Amino acid sequence: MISRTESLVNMLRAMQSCVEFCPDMLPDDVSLSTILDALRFLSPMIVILYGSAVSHRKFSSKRTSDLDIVCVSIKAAFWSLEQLHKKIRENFRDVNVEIDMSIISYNGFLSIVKGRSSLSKSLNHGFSILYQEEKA
Amino acid sequence: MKPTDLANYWIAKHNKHYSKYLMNYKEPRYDLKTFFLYSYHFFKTLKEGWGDYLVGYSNLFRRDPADDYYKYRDPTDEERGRQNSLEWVAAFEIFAEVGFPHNESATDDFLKYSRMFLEKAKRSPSLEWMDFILCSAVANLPAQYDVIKKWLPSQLEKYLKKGDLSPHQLMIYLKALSRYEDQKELRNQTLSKLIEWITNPDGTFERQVNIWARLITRMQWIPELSNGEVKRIIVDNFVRSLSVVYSVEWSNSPMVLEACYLIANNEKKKEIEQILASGLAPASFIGLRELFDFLISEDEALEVQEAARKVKEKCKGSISQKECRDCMTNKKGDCWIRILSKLTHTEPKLHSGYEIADKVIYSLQQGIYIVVKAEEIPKQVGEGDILYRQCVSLFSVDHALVLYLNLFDTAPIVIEEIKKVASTSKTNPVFEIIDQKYVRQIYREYIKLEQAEKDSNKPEQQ
Repeated sequence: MISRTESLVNMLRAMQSCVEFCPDMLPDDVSLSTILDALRFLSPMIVILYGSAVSHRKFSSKRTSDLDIVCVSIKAAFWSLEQLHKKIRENFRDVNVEIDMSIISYNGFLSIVKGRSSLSKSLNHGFSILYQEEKA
Repeated sequence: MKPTDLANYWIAKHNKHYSKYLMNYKEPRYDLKTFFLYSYHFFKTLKEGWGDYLVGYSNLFRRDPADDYYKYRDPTDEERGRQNSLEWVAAFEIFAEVGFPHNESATDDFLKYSRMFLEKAKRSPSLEWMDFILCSAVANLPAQYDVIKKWLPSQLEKYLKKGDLSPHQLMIYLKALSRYEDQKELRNQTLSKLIEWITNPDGTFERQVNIWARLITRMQWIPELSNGEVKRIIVDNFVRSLSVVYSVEWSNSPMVLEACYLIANNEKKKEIEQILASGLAPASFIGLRELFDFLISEDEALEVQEAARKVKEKCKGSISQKECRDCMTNKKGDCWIRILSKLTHTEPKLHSGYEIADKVIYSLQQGIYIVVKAEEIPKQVGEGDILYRQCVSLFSVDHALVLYLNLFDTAPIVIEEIKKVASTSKTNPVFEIIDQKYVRQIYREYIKLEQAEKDSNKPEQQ
């Protein structure tokens, strides 16, 4: 039986802009485990890193070193996103890098990838899968 | 049009469009956005019982609208100027209500493009609809658009001198002027023009009904409009206009319904509330779509009710993951674990640690659980204690999502006790009920899948 997460990952991996994760995509003081620990409470299906950290292209003149992350979670449909973002800010309070987090439900993410949203365009510039939910 | 008919009309539109909005990340255009903004206002007026929707709406409004979406909403565009301007009007009000998108880039882009187009509107203030976008920006987000705020009064003077202003224009001018402490004269001038229209209304009833509804729902903070004779004229004219129209503009329907609700006596209010309670899909139901793709709000099938009730899980205490999987492969009958597994595209995870007697906790993921109780829990002292304890133990997981598959209409008191613990728990869990209606739909879909599998196997067997 193929899980939803697996089918999502298969779909993403089939995209040309999907690149393997390298630890040097993250700034020195942010490790992969820091990110995943901070997001664990969301029971993520997948976590994606995108933006200049992966594509090395800058689209904003304002920022220098923010991290663009997408967390796909069923929980996005059940909590106030405000509450979830607050908790994430708390969890990342010791991290000096600015983190631009998007919390998106499974169906929401599917429509983003299939549609022509800003996020889908950003993903086309390059992204990396940081985490995928493991099969039981 | 009767208020009850209007309520049914709005419900049908809402049920249809809310889930579409939720599932489609394409930013809705002006009409749809206005419909949701006005529905949000209506839920705020209703408050009790519909709080979930306020959360759901806030999530929708604050999602990333695609960072170049607003780049193309030029209010001075020759063809789409009206739609684009009114879209900005709605967007300013939405973000003032719920806050900017959580995604910082989305907020930055919204502010960038809104400032750009407000500047453009400022340079051509006499173009149609420019007054709406300029006034809405100041009325709703004065801190973000302080340059416009400083400049606007001088332009409002010019607008007022021009005359021939619609009540909608006068209302948005008044909202913008509420942001100034030193513009009393301009305010009074605008207000007297509006009162002049109220006492001598013109236009079709279809047009008027929206104006009266707006006056009732959005302008009652102005004492001159919320008291005495003027108020009476507004209400009387609203009732008269609504009674003669056959339909209302669909995007304005929630505002008109809100006006009906606000002026109704307690008995009529209850009547509207009852229609909503029986027809409006609960917000949590929409969330369940994240787990069960097939759920649709209009399914009311009762024929599978008894069959759904007869399905019992057959797991025994301390069952291992392997035993559970074996049972799934060599099934000896339906069980809810199998049903849930099939429909959620997941494999049953070890749940023996939580299992007691006839209750099973289906762990979809760490932190997301479906609790199945295969026996009835009547309203008796002590009944439901085990369920209570087990659910509470799940709440110890940070942000646990616990979905209770309510197969047998568990006594409400048992549910309420669990809900109470969930709402006060420091770990911030969510406890949702998958009630009979959804249980039937889940089972119905499972039967369909089973049948489809059987059908696809037939030729091979032959």
